[in-house]
Amino acid sequence: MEHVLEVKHLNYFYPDGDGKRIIFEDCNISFSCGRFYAILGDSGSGKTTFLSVIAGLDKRYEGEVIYEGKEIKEIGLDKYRRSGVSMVFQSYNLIPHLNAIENCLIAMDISSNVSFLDKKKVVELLAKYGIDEKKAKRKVNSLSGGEQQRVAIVRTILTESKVIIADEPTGNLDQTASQSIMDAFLQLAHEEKKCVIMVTHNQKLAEMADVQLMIDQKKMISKEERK
Amino acid sequence: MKSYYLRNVLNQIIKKKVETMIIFSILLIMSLFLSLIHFFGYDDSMEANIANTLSLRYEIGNTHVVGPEGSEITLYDYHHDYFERIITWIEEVEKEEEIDYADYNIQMDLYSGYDKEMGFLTGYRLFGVSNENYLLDNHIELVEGRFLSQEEIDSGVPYIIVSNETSLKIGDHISLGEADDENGGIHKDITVEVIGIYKHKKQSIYYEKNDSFVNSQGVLLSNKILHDLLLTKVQNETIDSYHYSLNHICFYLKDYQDYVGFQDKLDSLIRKFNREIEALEYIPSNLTITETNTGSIIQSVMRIKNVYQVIFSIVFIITALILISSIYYLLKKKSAEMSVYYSLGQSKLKITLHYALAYMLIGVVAVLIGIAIGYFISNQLSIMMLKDNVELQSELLKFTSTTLDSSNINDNIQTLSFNGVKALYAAIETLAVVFISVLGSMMLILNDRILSRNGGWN
Ligand SMILES: Nc1ncnc2c1ncn2[C@@H]1O[C@H](COP(=O)(O)OP(=O)(O)O)[C@@H](O)[C@H]1O
Ligand SMILES: [Mg+2]
Repeated sequence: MEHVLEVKHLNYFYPDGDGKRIIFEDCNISFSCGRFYAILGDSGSGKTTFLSVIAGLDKRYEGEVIYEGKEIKEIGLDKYRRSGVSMVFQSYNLIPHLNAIENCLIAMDISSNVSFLDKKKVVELLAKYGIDEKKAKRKVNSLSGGEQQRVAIVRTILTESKVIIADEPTGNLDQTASQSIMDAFLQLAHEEKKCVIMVTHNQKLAEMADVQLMIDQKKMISKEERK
Repeated sequence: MKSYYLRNVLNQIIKKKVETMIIFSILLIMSLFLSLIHFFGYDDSMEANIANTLSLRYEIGNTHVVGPEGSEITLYDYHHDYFERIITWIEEVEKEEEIDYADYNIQMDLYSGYDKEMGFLTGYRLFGVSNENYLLDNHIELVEGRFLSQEEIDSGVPYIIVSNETSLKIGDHISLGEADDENGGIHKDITVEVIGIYKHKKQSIYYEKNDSFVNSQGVLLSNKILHDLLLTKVQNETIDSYHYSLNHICFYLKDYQDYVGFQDKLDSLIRKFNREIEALEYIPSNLTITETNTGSIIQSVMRIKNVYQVIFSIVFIITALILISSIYYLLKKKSAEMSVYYSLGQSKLKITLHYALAYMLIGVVAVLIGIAIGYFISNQLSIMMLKDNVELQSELLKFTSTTLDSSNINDNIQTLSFNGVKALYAAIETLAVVFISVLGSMMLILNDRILSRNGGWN
């Protein structure tokens, strides 16, 4: 299967006093569309740092992050974020004083994959993920955590990017809400053929993914591959 | 058209009523003071206003040349030669490029009768005029007839203008002569015709303070006639007890901006004249430049103006600092929102520009109102400053054109004309401060570390 995203010889460090704190050293890993990846690792092992790099949010890395054959710095990190990748965060990162529809429309407006702001499509998709029209017109900060996270997922779908990155998306959610998020991701990977990369603490949730990865000795290694 | 995001950013800022009002108020004050700095600035607006109302002049004082009683005849010659030289000198100075025209009075007292107890009975004081603007410059106005034309003045046509306080009427003829002590009679020399009657303008403060000007018995006529009269006297050696003097030598400048510079030039012209006089072994001339009121007015107005400018600048700097910190504070509160836009693919530059645009939209409204108020206030301030100056009032009354009603000082002060370029500067500067505030704040807020680890990344 062709790789949508490849990380080659990634080195990353934070300056630490006079010296440096190395997080990644010659890290190599590839991601494909249609798969759901879970990244496990101890707290402080560098999971968020890794996501920041492959999300085009952090340019202070050495090595290559290749999206569809092109280094993302070459594409332009802004353009890469606009077209190639979408993010879901533990704390949802929606604009709190706007409603769900408005949040989605803003993301679509910024995305370079979308040329028409189809409000009907937004309402339908939100409904499909359990946000009815009445809820969709409320300010998002009045929705439950699970609902907000689903709005965030709908937002990533609407921007039509191939790579979806999630950093502990279920961290603030209870069991049922977490399950619905996992179902959504699985569906995105398997039916929409997206490349979903999720960081989680939860071993059980990680086991639902197609591929389990972990950070070990400044490298990303595959734990096991399930078919 | 994809403008949903941008509209939203603008809405986010402008719709926030309290915050927008705060920013708007600060911006209004800032742009008001900026436009005050410009409208009320170091440039020519104020001076032009003064110049519009006043003619600028240099007055040279103490040029009294009197034929002394009981002197040797050679002394008459001496004094007369001196007198002639001053007139020649005035005519030379008049040719300087800065000078619009010069004016001076040959002044003679004329008596129509002599009484042992009462002294001279009826007296006219003859004022020689060298310029047709005399009325304009000396705060008197015609009530009947007409004034002398420049041509008549230059050629010395025997016409006179008399005060309305005399019993003379237009068309009357009178003889100009002198009191003759020895014969106790009047020596008749020249017959003149009354062509105009003047009166003093009301509330002439200047007139009351200055008796060297045309008094109620004053007769105005061409300097040339007086000059000729004088020459006859000198030739006939009949100037005993005849009082004549050269007064009120004024140079009117073409451009008020030459005021300070020309003073030095005039100084050196006077020194040059004195050297020539000394070379003839005459007593050096007592020509001195007297401080004219107009000059000191401009200077005092400029001083007050500079104080205002300093105050305006301080207020501007303070409001600018308040604006910068408010914008920083408000933008900082929005940093989470910005990092959402950033993660969605908006570049830092665009985010910065969009927020700058939002504040600049508030700025445009504020600046338009600020400029309007600033223009109004600077006009009021300049009128206030002009009115507060009593000295100036007297000058205004004396020098304003006859077409203006000098009893009402407000009419004499023109409002400053609205200057679009200055308004534009004020607007651009206000918006520049807004832009720089947003830019600076964004550089602090949107740094890589915050953006790569925005709220959600843990
Ligand atoms: N800006 C930073 N400067 C220095 N060290 C940092 C910075 N950000 C993170 N770190 C350190 O880098 C390591 C990896 O952080 P992170 O990627 O957040 O780990 P994780 O998400 O796996 O918990 C941690 O030890 C953290 O303390
Ligand atoms: Mg983390």
